Amino acid sequence: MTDSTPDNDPSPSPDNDSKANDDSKATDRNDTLLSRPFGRRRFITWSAVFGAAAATPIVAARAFDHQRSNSAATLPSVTGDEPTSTPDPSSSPSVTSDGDLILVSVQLAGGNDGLNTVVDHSNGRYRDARGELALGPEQLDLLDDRFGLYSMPNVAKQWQAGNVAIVHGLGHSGSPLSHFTATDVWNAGSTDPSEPTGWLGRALSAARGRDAIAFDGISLGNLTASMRHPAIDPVSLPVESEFMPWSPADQREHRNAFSAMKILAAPTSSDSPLSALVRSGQAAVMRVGEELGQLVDDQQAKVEAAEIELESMGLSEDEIEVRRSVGALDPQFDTIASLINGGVWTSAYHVQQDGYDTHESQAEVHPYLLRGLDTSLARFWEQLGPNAARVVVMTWSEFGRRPSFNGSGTDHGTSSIGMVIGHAVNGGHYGEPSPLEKFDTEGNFIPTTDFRRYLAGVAGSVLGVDPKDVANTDGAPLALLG
Amino acid sequence: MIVEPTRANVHHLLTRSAFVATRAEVAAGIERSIEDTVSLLLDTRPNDAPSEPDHDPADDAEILITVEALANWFFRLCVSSPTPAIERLTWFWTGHFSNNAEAVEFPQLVLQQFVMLRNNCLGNFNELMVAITLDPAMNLFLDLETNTADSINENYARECLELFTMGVDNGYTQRDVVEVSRALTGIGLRYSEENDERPAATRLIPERFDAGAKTILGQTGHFGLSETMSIITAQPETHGFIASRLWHRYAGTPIPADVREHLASVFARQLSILDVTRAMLTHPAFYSDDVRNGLVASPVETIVRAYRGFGLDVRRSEFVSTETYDVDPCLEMADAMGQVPGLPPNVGGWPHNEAWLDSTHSSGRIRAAKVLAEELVDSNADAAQQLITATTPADVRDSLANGLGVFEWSGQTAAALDAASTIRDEQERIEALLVLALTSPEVTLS
Repeated sequence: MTDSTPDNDPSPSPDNDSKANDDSKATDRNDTLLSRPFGRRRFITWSAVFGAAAATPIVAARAFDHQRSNSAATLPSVTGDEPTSTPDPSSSPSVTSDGDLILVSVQLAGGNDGLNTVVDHSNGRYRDARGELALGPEQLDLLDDRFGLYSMPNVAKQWQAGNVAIVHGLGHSGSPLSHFTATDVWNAGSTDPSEPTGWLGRALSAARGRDAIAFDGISLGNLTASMRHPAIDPVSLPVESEFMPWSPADQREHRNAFSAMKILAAPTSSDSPLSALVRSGQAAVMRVGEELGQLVDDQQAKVEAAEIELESMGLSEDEIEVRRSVGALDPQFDTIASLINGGVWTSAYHVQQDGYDTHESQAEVHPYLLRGLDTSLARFWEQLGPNAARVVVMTWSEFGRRPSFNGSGTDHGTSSIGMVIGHAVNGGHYGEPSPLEKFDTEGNFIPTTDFRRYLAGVAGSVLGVDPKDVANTDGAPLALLG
Repeated sequence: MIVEPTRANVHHLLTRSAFVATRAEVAAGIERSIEDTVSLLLDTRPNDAPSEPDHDPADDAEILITVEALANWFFRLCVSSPTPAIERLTWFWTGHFSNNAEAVEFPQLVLQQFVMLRNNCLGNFNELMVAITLDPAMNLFLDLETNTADSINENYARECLELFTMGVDNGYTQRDVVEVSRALTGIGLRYSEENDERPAATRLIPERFDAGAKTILGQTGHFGLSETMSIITAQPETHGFIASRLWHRYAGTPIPADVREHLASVFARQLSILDVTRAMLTHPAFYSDDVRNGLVASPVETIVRAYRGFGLDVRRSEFVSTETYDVDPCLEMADAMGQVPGLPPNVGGWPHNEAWLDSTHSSGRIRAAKVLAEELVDSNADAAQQLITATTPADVRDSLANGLGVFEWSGQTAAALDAASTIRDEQERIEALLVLALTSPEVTLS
């Protein structure tokens, strides 16, 4: 028999005798997180997660106020006082056929707190539920006399220009509190999490054939399940890598290897289902390398150059880490911008931002996450230049957070908010916030806007397909484009 | 029904349960029953793990080791271990209780957790659940320290029921999540004596414990940690769920209902992980064609397979300066393929099957193959030398099959390898061969 006694396990040694200082210790821990030096160079990509609040956001939070005051001025202003960078709908597109739009789906993974993103700040019930997490008007960019936007000054400017639709109470009745089931439901665009196709996959499948497109859809990082559909071939791109195999240059350099790979990746009737996927995965790599390899390699060179520049600026290690963290989404959006500007005709992109599972230290973590999204979006619009007029960005999250404060953050909830941003968007509020007067039996919000109306409305209008092909809606698909 | 110890069956068993099937092990395995081979694989008392971190802790009392050193240590364990099936099972449990060392902030604590999981990997599941609930890395990762009588934090209790024991939507309610949270209040952290910023262990803090009555899964009492875990681990749903998770990661296919029932009943008897693992590995369904073609080997499994098969060593990581660790190239492979031990994407653990086959991960396999090729060219190991010096296409194929533990190459893969084996430049040829081999169905699907 195996000895299962953890004789050299140093971990679980509970002791019951120290009672005096436990509360101060809990406080200490946050202090120590703040003072712990960072900047140990990591060659492994930082990965944010569901679960514990990562350290970097907390460090980032410390420098946040400072950065907020500076960066608002240095960031490209999309609307308002710097009209040169305003997307100009009348400029001629270099990319798509006339009138066609590009959808960028942004997944805020972990469950974004809608209640503290678009804030009904004067509502007494909001302040009661949230206690010390409640945000006041002075912490917000006010959108109108009722709502304020938290930690997203650039999106607020877009709102003022009429480019932002905010969808309230977004979810569905009986939505699951599991990250994984809830994400499956959203990806499926169906309350049946086992639905094998994705909402975006169905939309792209319906849109197929309208134009000669390079790729049905491109997902940054992992291939999103929302793009699943047997009739289309979406691809995924590594966000950070040394090179993309089988770019034209790589093919020339490794000609024999490339021919041998073609033999290996050819589909075969005797394949098992997984063997077929192994081969189609490698075939996709060849296709991506052929068409996008050079663009991705160039983009990667820019990322590396930016990294070298960042390290040579004489900043403190903390500051470098903060900048890396706030800019975590930049490589994904930069890649998309370079593909769009480079003339790659693809109807839909997917990016993902992790870290929204704010059970703990929400006050420190959440604003930093929104700030990262906001600055990356501003940078994205600027890089797109005239092509920005063709792009519609939509955000979604598997669920929102519990209305009540848990002492450190918030637990899993139900409805959240969606934001749709772009020149083609008919800005404004859509739907009503979930009531703060009456929660469900578990103390969670009662959703007011079915998520399928959102998905079918956005994908249907942006991709020009019948919303019925995207999702079965309970109620009319939202009409968000003007 | 008895599973015959054919070459194919022995090869399958060793590949799935011990990373790689070497020819010597297969030759020995066909001379005894499958049951005996499984006993040899699992009834090995875990040898002493290289549990020391890869450098002198005095170098950096603050965090002791980095995530790179943690990952390097784990690869070294898996590659050098005389009991690979124990390491494979440890790997399973590190994915089941998925903690991210970056988020935990103190990779040393995750290393301690890995050692704890290894020590418990064939033991009693209830004891394992108590140990993991008291594990400091887990405490940090799922916010147990902030779960107090005054204000509960549901994070740990929900994932405990959903991911660690019963399975999502499987016999518990939101009310149970709340009640389990209450029962697990008061599990705080104790800090290191050398460095009072670094948690060293958990400790029970009575003032934070909710001493009131709770109703958990239909039972009411003034429960704390041990009663709660006993209730949860006694649920039939837990037995079926753990059986299905083992099957998921070892067989890959959906578990057939009768197999699930059988494995759950074995597990229910004594909550013995050894018993349920043995029952799975000796079950005829484990040797079906579906299962043989039903699992994408994870990147870590692929790397360990190649290192063990080719006889490569993982070198100790060295602390070079306050900035960097020098680590083994296998970490570069792991990073390229998207699976660095200790850095799972979220609490649900690593991707499975199809998710490893998108173009992001498929291109990562190519990058990893190039790193491996470079290591092989530099290696003096016999199996590596055999590949490098092979002159005929048949010898090339044979030496690759030997080094990667491939049962046999399909005609299609053989044709691709033959096309590459004519490349004259040695580095170029080895690189092309490894790219083809690592992206072939034979190696991708173990």
